[in-house]
Amino acid sequence: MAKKVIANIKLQITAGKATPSPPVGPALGQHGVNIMEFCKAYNAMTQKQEGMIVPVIITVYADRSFTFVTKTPPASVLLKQAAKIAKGAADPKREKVGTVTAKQVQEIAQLKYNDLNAVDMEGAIKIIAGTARSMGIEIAG
Amino acid sequence: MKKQQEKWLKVEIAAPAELMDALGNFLTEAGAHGVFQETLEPQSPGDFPETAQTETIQAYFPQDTRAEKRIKSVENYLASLAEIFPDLTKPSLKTEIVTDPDWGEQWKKYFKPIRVSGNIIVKPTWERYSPSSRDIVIEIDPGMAFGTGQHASTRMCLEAIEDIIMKERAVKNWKVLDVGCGTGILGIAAAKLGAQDVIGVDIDRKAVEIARENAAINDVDEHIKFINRDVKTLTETRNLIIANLTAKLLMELREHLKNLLVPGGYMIISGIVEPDRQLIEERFCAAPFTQEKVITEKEWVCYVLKKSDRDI
Repeated sequence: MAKKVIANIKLQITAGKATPSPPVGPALGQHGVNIMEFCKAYNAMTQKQEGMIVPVIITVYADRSFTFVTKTPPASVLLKQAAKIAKGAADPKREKVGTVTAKQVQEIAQLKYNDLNAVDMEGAIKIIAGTARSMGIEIAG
Repeated sequence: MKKQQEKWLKVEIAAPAELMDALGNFLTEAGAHGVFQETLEPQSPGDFPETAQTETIQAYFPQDTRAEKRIKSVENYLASLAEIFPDLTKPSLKTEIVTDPDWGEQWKKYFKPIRVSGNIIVKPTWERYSPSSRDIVIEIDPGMAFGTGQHASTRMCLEAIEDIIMKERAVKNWKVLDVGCGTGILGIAAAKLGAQDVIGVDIDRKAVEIARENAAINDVDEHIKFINRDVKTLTETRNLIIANLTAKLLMELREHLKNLLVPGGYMIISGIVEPDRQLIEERFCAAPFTQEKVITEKEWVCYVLKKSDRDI
C-alpha cells in the first residue's frame, strides 16, 4: 500500500548549501523530518550546481520519511540571467532594471512548462511575462 | 553563561500563484536564505483541501537592526505589485518574531533504535533498548549534527567498519580517522569495535561538541579525540579512514586522504550518489587503491578501498 502523504513542501534554496537554519529548519522541522538527513541528501544531489538556486519539492509521509525531486531554477533566476542583471526592481511599477526579448520569455516558458500551472504554452508565456513585470524587467519585441 | 536567545523575523505572504516566483526572488534578494511553500494533505475525509485562490510563501530573516527596513521594503514591493496587477487578489503580509525555535527537535519523536549492521544497533539516548549478548549498542543524541544511522550513507559506513575490523582481527592497533564526524557515530562505532585511537574532525564546531558528548555517553571518550579542524591540517597517518562526505569533497580531499593512509590501510568513502559513481571510481578505484567492496542502498554508494602495501 502506498505510504500516506502528510505534506508537500516546495523549498527554494541554494544548491549544495542546505543547512538546518531557515528556511530548511522551519519548513521541515515542523513536519518531523530529520533536517540533517535532508541537508545531506540535497547537498549531495545538487553539488554540481553549487551557487544556483535549485528548488526542491519534498514529500513528507506519515512515518516522517521523505522523498524529494529537484526542479529547474525559478523563472525569476532565468529572467535575471537573460536580462544580465543581478537583482530585480524593489518597485517594479516605477523602476525598470532590465530587458528581455519575447523569444527569451518563450524559451523560459518552455523550460519551466512542467512546473507552471498553465493550461497551454500561451498561458505559460503569460505567467513568465508576468514574473518579468513583477521584477521590473521589460519585454522587447 | 546564559545562552543568547535566537530570534528570527518570519515573513508570510499570501498571494495569487502567478506572483509566487517573483515574491520568492524578492525575499531572497532581501536577505532570506531561501523561501518555502507548503501544501498540507487532507488527513480525514472531512478535511477540505486548501483553496487554490492564493498560495502562501514564507521566508525568515535574522531579527536584527535591519528588520524594520526589510518589512517596509516588502510592503512597498507588495503595493507595487498590486498596482501592476489590479485584477489579481491583493497580496497580504503577516510578520512574526520567532524566539528560540526548536525546528531540530520535532523529528526526534520518530527516531527509534535501529539495527544498522550485523551487530550494531544505533539508539537515541532517550529510548530504551534491551540488547542481546552480541549487540554493540551506540547511543546517539544528534542535536543538530548529521549521523543517526537513519541515512543510508551512515548505515553503509557502519556495515563497512564492522566488516573490516571483524575481518582483520590480527590488527591490534587500529588508528582511525573519521572525516566530517557529525554526531561522531562512525568514530564511536570504531572505538566500540575495539579501536584504541580514533580521531574525528569536523569543520562545524557544534558537531564536534555534540560528537564529544556522544563519545562520553558511549564511554569511549578516552579512545577518541574529536577536533574542530579542517582535515587538510592533519599529518598523522592512519590505517583506517572513514569519509562520509560528498563526491565533490572526496575529489578535493583525495590526495590528502591518500597521504594520510598507511600502505595496506583501509579507506571507506560514502555520501556518493549514483550519478557520481563513474567519477569516483576513476579517481579512487585506481592505484594505489584497490576496491575491496561496494555497498549500495537506493541511490547511495559506499566504497571500501585498500591502499597498496607498496607505497606508490
